[in-house]
Amino acid sequence: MLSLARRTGQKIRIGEDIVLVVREIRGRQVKLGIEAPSHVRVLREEIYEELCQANRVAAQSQEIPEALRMLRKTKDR
Amino acid sequence: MKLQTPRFGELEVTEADLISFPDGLPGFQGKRYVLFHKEEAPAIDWLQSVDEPEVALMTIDPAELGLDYRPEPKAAELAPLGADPDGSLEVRVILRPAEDAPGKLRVNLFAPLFFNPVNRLGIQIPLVGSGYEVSALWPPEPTEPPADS
Repeated sequence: MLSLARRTGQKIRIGEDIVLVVREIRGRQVKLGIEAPSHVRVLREEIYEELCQANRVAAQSQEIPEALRMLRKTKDR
Repeated sequence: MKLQTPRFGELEVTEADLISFPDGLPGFQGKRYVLFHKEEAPAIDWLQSVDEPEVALMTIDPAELGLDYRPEPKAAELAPLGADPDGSLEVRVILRPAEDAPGKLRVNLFAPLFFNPVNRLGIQIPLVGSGYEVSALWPPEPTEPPADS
């Protein structure tokens, strides 16, 4: 993994159109600003991991819950 | 094309059935899915992966759950679905049985799926800051009436 030392206000450019800027460093926390095109999804890693985990767990349950067998479709598609 | 799936056996899938997730679905590799329902539970739309046949997710139109649920992603987050002049985007939420509450479900209200039925593109969007839960219990627990003081 590439490691770069940066000070407050300094930037890192990734490719043509993604820029990270160190906004603030306080104790053990750093605040980063991120400029990226709107189609690039920017997420905290733990949220992405949570999404992956939730989707994988859901894919392991393929038996229809009783509560939903009763449910009739109300909206025509 | 024919698709062999553990859940449904052999499925006949045509090009026109495919829904493409350009960003994929977090946790899985594939980008091509099909969406269909079965008579056994008409309210459930199965999202079956074409590229990973063992991946099949139960989804539902959140309107069927009778919740006050208003997912409001930003326009930029919906941009990968292309133009939507008629406001025809469809929403689904992923669900699974609640292992700790027999008979109930866990619904991912935090990261709903959006589909554009015109160009058949799909995306899962995490609603960061919305307060919606990844594993919301359904039906919800009745809220306690406020205690008299």
